[in-house]
Amino acid sequence: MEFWSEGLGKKELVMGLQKANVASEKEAIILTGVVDAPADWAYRVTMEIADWTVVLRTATSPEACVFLSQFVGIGRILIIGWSMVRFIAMLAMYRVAAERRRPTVSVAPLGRHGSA
Amino acid sequence: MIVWSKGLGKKVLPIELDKATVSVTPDHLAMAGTIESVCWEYTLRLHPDDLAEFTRLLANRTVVQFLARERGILLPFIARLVLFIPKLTFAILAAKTFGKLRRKD
Repeated sequence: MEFWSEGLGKKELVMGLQKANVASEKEAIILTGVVDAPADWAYRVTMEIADWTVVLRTATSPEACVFLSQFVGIGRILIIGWSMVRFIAMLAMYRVAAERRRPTVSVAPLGRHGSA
Repeated sequence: MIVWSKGLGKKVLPIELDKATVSVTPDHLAMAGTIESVCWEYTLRLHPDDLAEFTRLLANRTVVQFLARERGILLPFIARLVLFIPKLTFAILAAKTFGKLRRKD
């Protein structure tokens, strides 16, 4: 993945996502590692829920459809598809577990004068 | 999304991904925009390998557990995928069929 910004001048950061360390904080996922180019610089990318929502939306955008269909081989599309299946299955499993753990509120019956 | 690297010194770049424009080239998928706080432009380029790695990252247990804390992610994504897969299948078939016909000509 290549990241360029005006703040880097003519340089761009080449980040190998397969080597990123993934950690979770309260409000964000933190990806850290060392860039492949232009030098051995450490990097840190902080991604909140909103960012991941955008990633998922971009993954199913018309542009992604054009790119995948015209410029990506079938083998790689299948790899991406398999990762998506795993992602959905795991997310469903963890969502169900999270809902089960959510405390249920029980309402005590009211007494004669409206008190519990 | 906040990006920091040693090459940026003490600066961190807060990137609003939802405002990025997405474009396609034969080589990569690009997301570009402006970092409002410093008025700098940025570009993120994802090659096919990067897309595969990013989806593998999505299926990382830490990422999934983090996303599972929030409601409103799974079902909308499945709904988008249900619409996306037939479009992608048709687009692939069209690209392979018409691409071959064009090459023959």
